[in-house]
Amino acid sequence: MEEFSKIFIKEIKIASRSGYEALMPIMYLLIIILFFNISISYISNNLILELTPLMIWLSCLLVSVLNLESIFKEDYEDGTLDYFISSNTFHESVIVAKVFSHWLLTTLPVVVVSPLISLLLGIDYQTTLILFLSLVIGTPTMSLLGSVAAALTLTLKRGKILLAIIVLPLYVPILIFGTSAVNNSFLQMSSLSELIFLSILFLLFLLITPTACLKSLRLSLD
Amino acid sequence: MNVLMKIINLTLQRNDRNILDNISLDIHAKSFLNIHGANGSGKTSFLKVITGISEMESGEVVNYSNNNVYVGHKYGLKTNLTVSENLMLDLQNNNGDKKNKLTEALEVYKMSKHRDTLVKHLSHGQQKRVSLMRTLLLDSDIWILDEPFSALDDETKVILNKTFVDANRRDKTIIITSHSAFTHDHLEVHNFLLKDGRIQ
Repeated sequence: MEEFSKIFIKEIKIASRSGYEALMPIMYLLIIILFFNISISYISNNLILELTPLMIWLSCLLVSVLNLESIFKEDYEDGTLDYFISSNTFHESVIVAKVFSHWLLTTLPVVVVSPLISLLLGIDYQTTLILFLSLVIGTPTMSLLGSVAAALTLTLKRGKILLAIIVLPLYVPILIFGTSAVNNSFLQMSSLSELIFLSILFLLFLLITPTACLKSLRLSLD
Repeated sequence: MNVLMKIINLTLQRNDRNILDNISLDIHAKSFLNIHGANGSGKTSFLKVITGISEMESGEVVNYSNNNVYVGHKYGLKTNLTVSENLMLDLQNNNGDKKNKLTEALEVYKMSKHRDTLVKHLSHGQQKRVSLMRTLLLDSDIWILDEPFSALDDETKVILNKTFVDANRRDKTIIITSHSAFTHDHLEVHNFLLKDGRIQ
């Protein structure tokens, strides 16, 4: 727990000094949503309303993928990873702290902004709430899963595309449950089972991915 | 003297070439080892294997201490944090009085005035000083330093030499790499030449 809090404080401090970088994911989300809206502007309003929350979900997923590479990249480049491993303090808790702080700093702002965008685009409160909840559970799951791929592609110079190719197919179950939850809510049906499935996926990956990520990092550094 | 680290038949391969070839070595407590050799002779690889950063093809490294500090070519510093923030985060809560330890280390390396300077505003050599301060702060049994004298000015080299002598008195084991063998007025240096993947 001490290691967890140390890493967490360190990441927050670094992020607090990086200035406008924290706003980048939000800007990216707004641009994607704007582009989606432009591209579907010719279809009927009802259909646009039905597609909007799904479009927001997909946009958050894309923002999440875009940020994945940075989970370990800086630590690799400045030698922090070598230092961690050599000092025998590199455990699963460090991985969880890294992934959680990364999610908090890069994806949570997007998750918080998403309901606001949803309401601005005319989506009802209930659907917006489900959108928010599904993103709160779904995006950290994606970060956990993505951390393994980020670790595997760490030393590659052009690893970003490979990283996306590896993780996007793995995100399909999360996307299905997330968008189903939102769609059910829009159609005034229960979204409980989808949210439960998302929670189970989160817990499952929370158990599995730190160990897998640790092994992948050692493999990459070798 | 006790054996603190036992290296048994260590072999490391890269691109079908033996970087380290069947190396066996006993590292005793309180000893000072200088692994020297030409560029590309495998010095850094050797340190990375014994610290657990890289995995070997065959052999075994038994570390009886499990309490070592490694300072490599990359310094492991966060450039957006100050010197004190970087170092304070390394210290465990049980490392005694954190602030006193930090002040002491900053004084030893003559970096007190840079305590609150962001690491990105320090020169390369000053950053190296900060990374070397970790050896003092963490109080580890084994210090593993990759070419510690490179990129340092004469003043810092003197400080580092003095730190080694003090550490040796405090029963620390020091393993360094360099390009040549050397002797020390106050330390018994065990020089090992690393050539063609073998220690000679």
